[in-house]
Amino acid sequence: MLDRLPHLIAPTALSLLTGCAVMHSVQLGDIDADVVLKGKPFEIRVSEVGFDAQEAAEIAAAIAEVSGKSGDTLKDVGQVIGLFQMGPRTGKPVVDEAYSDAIIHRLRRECPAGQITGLMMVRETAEYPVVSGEIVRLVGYCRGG
Amino acid sequence: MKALTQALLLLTLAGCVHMRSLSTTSVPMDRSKPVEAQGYRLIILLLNFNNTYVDTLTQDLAAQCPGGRVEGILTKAEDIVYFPIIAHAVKVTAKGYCVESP
Repeated sequence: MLDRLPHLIAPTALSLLTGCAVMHSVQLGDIDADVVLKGKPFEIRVSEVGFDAQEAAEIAAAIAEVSGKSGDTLKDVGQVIGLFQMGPRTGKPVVDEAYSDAIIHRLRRECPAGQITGLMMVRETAEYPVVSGEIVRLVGYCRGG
Repeated sequence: MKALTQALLLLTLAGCVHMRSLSTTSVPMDRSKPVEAQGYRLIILLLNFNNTYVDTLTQDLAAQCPGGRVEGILTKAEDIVYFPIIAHAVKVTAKGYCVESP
């Protein structure tokens, strides 16, 4: 096992290095210039943990193979999971897909009685091996709130 | 011949642009004063730790339209591959029209 350690370190280091912020989409709303230039900026961020079971199975299969065991069963499991995760999507699967609904309540709290403008919605992922942070970020400006 | 094929394949794979997202808001009647802002980040070895470079887009547009409103904003996010894995970039362009506030 120890003689195979270098083979394990390289993919592990590589996977840790890929812990990055991936932007999926960005959308700007109409802007009232005076509010943006003189108002108060705010940022709302909601997130949920994403988990990729297929990736977990594939990594487990790779580790099994490096350790001298057969990873075929784990590979098959990964492929079956993959069949259930097909289709267009952003980021990794989450348990509660309604996590972003809280944004509208947070927006009311940020600027309860003022004018909101210059809203920018960013959908991004903090990407790590197997897990991820699935993030929705809203940046805007409030005047009189 | 093999080297030539590989070089051509490499050239084909490099320099691609992918559209990530596109959105627009309602377009105003007065389109006489277009404004534009851009966010750009060069990403080496796929290492990118935040996307805050887009946060200034709103202020950049507002600064070009003091006292008015920016409407009809087209936001386009593109992924540019200069060389696979080694170097790519994300470019976000926001174009709109400055109209006078009523």
